[in-house]
Amino acid sequence: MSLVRAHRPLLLIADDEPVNLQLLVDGLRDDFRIRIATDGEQVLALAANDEPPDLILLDVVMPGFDGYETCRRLKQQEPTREIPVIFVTSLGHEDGEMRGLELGAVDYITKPVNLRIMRARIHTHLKLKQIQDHLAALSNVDGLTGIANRRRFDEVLALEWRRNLRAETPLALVIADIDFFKQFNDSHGHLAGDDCLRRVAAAIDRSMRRPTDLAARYGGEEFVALLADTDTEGACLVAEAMRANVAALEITNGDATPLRVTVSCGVASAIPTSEDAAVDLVTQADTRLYAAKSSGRNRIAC
Amino acid sequence: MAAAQDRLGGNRRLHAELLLRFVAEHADGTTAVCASLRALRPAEAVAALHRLKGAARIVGAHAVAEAAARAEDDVSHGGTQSLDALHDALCDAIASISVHVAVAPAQQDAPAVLDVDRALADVAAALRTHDASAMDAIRQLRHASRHELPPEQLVTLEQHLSRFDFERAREALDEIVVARRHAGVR
Repeated sequence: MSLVRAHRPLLLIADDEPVNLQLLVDGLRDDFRIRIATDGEQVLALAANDEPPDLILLDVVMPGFDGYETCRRLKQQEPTREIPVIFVTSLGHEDGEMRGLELGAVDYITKPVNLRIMRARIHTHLKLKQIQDHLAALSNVDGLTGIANRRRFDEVLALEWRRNLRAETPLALVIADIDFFKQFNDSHGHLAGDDCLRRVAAAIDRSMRRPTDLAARYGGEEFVALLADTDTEGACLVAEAMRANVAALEITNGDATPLRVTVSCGVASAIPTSEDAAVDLVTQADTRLYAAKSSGRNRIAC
Repeated sequence: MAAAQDRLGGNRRLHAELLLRFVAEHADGTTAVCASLRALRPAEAVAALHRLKGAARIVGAHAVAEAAARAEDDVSHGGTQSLDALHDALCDAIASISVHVAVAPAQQDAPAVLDVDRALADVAAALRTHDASAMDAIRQLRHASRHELPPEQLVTLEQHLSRFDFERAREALDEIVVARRHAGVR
């Protein structure tokens, strides 16, 4: 993946002094797209926008709540937490700099700024952020199949369990297991087995209908689909789509029976309560998966 | 002021614009501070002095920056003696800036476009997201509109945006759009 973005990075500049703003806007506009806030509330609103900024230049002394408080609030909120913040201030004392860095800012620049140095620092922090994002993305992806990994699934399951608990809405889980996969590996070798896993993973991923649906590799030849705000009926439709899409791949399963690679699926859905745990949903889906297996495979059990 | 230009990468045009902006924003700086103090709003006075100090440092008005720093400290401790010195430093700086800016190169105008409605839409979109490209969009609008839009309303719009007040700029733009509709132009 290229670390160079196709478009110019978006900066949010927060300052209440027009001379400072004009300096930064004029001096940085060739390298960056720029949005402007003149107080802390505007910073929070613009940072949580549909297109969040890639980096925020934040003055300390502003009307309403100051830059420190603005930074603290940015770092508290999930959508804005990871946006790098650079303080740009005429408060030159070390205590202020320490406070800014402790609040999560990546840098602290004192005015008057040198435009060339500031530009270079911004580029450095943007590169670091892109590398950090890239590593974070890699840590959530299964290396073989390219879909979400077990770590990511566990993380999203915990998040969605809490969210659906608060919203009192159902959370559904489908566990899919490739039928006779051991025989497939024995007949065709592990390289063909890896290719089979990749194609099945892609078919399962294609079966997700909403942006919030998550398909992940659970381990070995097992896959999961996590479906927020979904009851049993809706989850069965997704499970059936997963089963049908894998069967439609028509991957030949050597001498084993049946002739095509298929999956069996177990489905569970529940409205989370404080008495239950997310792992109970996994256990339920797992139990139904075994029911699907024992009743003939290439089927779903709800 | 040479050091200030160096910090701007030698950009004389930008330095000249910042000097003009400094005069526009802060020529009455001490008057505003005194008004805040008379209204028993010392925090507002300290904030204004802090802004003046920062702006003076940027444009290279060091005497003003130092006087503003002393006044910021003074006023935050209940004093006002240093305000006279600040006033004098500010007057000297403004006189010096007038000479300096007179020889600075003029800014080039944006190329003209023909579609006023398109230019209005561009300005509206940029204002909604507080995007700095609104300044360019307004320059385009001014050229596009020629005599089609009321010049006094355009001036109001530009004034709000020059102070980076996007909300009031949006209100001014809305008024322009409404006036245009009433005039029967779409």
